[in-house]
Amino acid sequence: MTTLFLVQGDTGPQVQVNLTRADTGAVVDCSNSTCTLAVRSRGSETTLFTVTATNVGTNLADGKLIFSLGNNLTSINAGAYEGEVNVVFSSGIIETVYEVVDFVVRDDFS
Amino acid sequence: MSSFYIRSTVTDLSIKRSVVDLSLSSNVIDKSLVAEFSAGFFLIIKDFANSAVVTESLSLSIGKPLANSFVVLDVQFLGIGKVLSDGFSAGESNLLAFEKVLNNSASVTEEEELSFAKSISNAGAVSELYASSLGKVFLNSSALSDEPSLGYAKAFVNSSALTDSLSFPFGKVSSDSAVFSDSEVLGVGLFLDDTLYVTDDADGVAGDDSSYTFVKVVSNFSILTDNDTIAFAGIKSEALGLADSGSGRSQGYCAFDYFAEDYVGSSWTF
Repeated sequence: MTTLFLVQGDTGPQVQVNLTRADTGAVVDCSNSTCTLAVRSRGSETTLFTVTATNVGTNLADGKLIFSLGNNLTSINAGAYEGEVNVVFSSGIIETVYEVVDFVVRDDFS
Repeated sequence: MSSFYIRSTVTDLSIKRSVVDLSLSSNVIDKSLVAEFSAGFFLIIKDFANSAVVTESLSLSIGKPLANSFVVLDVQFLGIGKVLSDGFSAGESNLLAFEKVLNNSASVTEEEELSFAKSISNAGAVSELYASSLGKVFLNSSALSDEPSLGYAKAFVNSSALTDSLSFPFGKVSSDSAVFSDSEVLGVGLFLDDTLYVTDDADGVAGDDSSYTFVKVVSNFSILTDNDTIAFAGIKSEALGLADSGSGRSQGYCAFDYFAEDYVGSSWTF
C-alpha cells in the first residue's frame, strides 16, 4: 500500500498511476478510456472529490494515468485520505484498482 | 583356497502398485489491475484558450473604431438627409458602401444595399399592389378595381336616387305650402264668420236668437271650412256632403211650435 504525502493548499501536486496486469505485468492500454481518481477521508464513505486523468486519448496507451489535484487540496482539512482509481475503457468495460492509495495531508505553515 | 559360487534365480512375484493422482487441480491466474502510485509534477498544463480570447478582444478593439465611426457618420447624415425626404437610408448606405462593403460590415452593407437595391424590389412588392390596382382592374384586382369603378359608375345611379330626393323637397314645396295656406285661411275666415253671424242674429233681439245663431255657426263653420279646403283639394265632393244638412228658419214673433206652419218670418233650406 502506497502512501502519498501532500500539503494543504497546494495546487500543483499530481498523482501518477502506472497500471499493469497482475498476471503478465504488461502495461494496460487505456487509450480513449475515462480514468478517474475518487478521494475520500479514511474511514468515511463519502467521496470528497473526483478528478479525471489529465492525459487523455492515446496518451493513455502506456497505462500511465496522471491526475492533477488542482484546487482540491485547498478545500480539504489536514488528515488522512484514500483514493480509488477507476477506468472506463472505450469498450464500456469498467475496471477498478483494488488497492487504494493513501494520502496524508498536513497543514501548511501560512 | 577354493571359491564357490552359488547361483540362484529369485523371482519376485509380489504385486507392485503405482499410485496415480487423478484429483482435480486448479491454476488461478490473477489478471486484476495492479497500480503503482507516485506523486509529483508530471504534466505542465497551459491554458491556451484564455490567451486566444485576449487576442481576439484586442483585434476587435482595433477593428471596431472604423465600424463605430461609420455609425457616427450615419447619424450625421441622417440629420441632413432627412431634411428633404427622410434620406436616412441613403446616407447610411453611401458610407457603408465605401467602408464596409468588403469587410465585416457586410451585414450593415446589406442593410444599406437594401435601402438602395431593394428599394426597387421592395417597391416592386409595393408596386405590385399599385399594379394590381391599375393592371388588374379587369382581372384579379377586379375586387379592388370594382370599388373605385363603383364609386364612379354608380355615381349616376346613386345620384339619381339622391336627385329624386332632392327634387321632392323642391317639387313639393308648392303642394305643401298649399296645405299650409288652407289651414291659415280657415283659421282666419272662421273667426270672422262666426262673429258676423252672431251679430246678424242679434238684430236687436240678441237674447232669443242666440241659440239659433249658434246652430248656424256650426253649419257655417262646416261650409266655410269645406270651401277653403275644396279650393285646393277635394273641393266639391266634400263640400256637398256637409251642405245637405243645412236648413234654417227665422221669426221673432212666437215659439216655433206655436203654429202648425211658419206664417211669419222666413225659412230656408240649403
